[in-house]
Amino acid sequence: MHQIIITYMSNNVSVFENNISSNSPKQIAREFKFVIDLMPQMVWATQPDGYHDFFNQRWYEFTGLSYEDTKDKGWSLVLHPDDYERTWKVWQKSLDTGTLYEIEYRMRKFDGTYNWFLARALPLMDDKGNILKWFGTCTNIQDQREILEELEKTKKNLRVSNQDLNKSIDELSRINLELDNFVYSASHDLKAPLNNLEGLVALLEPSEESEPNQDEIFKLIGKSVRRFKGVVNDMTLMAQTAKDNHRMHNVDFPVLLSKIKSDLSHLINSTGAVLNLDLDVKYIQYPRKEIRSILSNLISNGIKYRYPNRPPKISVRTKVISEEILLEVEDNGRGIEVENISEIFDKYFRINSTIEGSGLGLFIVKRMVENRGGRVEVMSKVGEGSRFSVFLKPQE
Amino acid sequence: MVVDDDATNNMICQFTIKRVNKEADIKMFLNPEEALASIKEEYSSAREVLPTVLFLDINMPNMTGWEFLDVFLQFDEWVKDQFTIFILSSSIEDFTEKAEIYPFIQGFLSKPLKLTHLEEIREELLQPLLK
Repeated sequence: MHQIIITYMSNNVSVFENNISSNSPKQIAREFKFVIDLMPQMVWATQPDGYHDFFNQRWYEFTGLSYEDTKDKGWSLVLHPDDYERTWKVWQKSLDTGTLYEIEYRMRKFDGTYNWFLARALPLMDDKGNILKWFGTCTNIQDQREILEELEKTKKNLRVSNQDLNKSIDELSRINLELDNFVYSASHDLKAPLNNLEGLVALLEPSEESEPNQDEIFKLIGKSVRRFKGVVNDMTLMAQTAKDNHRMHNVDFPVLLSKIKSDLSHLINSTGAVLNLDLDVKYIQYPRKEIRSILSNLISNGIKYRYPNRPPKISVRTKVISEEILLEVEDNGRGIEVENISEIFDKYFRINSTIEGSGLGLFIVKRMVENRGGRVEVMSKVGEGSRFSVFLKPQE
Repeated sequence: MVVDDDATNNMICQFTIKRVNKEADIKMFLNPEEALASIKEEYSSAREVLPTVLFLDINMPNMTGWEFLDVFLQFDEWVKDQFTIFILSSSIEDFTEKAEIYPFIQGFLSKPLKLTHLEEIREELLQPLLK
């Protein structure tokens, strides 16, 4: 091996001649080997056909192998199996064409671990362009690789947390908007009974003449208080659906519907409403409060938005449709204009519309149903009536 | 005349007006369409002027106060001239834009109707007569 270096040195001795002309070729070769072994990189050389015939000290230190082990094609045995083929392809191409060899690959260290290297090589040619030898280096880039990987990982994590943050911002903006609109509509919904109370109380204030309608005023005060309470209850219910903390029950539809009927008895009796029940499904596993709220909202809407001078007819049906349970509430009321259909579940932007109520009903229904994986559909014809179809996902 | 779908509000109006004027002839309508029909029938055929103050709500399910006014505007001048119209609403919306569209609206009152409202209205209506 020293022989080879010396041969090479003697051919190139002119490079050094001017500076260290006093030294003998042997001395120059010694110095040159010293410098090459000092370098932090691996240095290697091959014959024109790629026969590896020289490595510097770094190579032996890293691989833990001898010259005999790694000469000729032996060097490639320390390549990572995944990089082996690719490396040979690139190396062979450079040998065939005499062009720059440059590749990144992993090599096995003496302790069995692998490190990434950047390998480069160029051929030394004679005057006629014939390749005399190849000279190459391998630079350990393991640290850079690790830093790059770390950076990529950090970038990816950042992207993910950025996405999460954006999602949270969207969610928060939505909640904020909901809250804004909630405050707006709540103030509107609460104002009506509160205004009435103010007016009624003013009428009870002492004056020169005694109020002849005191009993009636007290009755109206009671009514206004109930209405106020109703709005507050709806608001509470809405806050609860947001929290999703209702327990499961085995809900008995016939029993529940008779309860709802008695809750709404005032509305039903005053309008002459008729309720038809057609219950294929008698029981459902679902939070009772939610089913009750859904049905009572839809039924009372059907009665409240009746067609003028036509006694309301409300049909309530339950059916199994593939995997879902369908609750259907159909009325013969005023129906919903096409342009309003998309807004009826949206309590927020319909305050200015002509319909007044607590304004939270359908919004609560939709939110409750969708929170548990279901959906609400509506079909309506102006002047003929509406049909609300609630598809409920059976709950665990 | 009171047109509002809120029965309680109408009762408050009735009691309050009675406090100011026991003899007042008060008509209350929960349904604006019925009110329009009644106006058309009674006021068209009236032989003498029936000076009427109308308290009109805005948010009503079948017909809004604005829609009511659009129909009312089509009535004969003779009918319209008998009315002094006040909007009586709990709404917190700003009505200034609408006021420009319906200049004949005498005023906007926020619910509930109060004795002070009525006293102001009486003074306003009496003033032209006193002159």
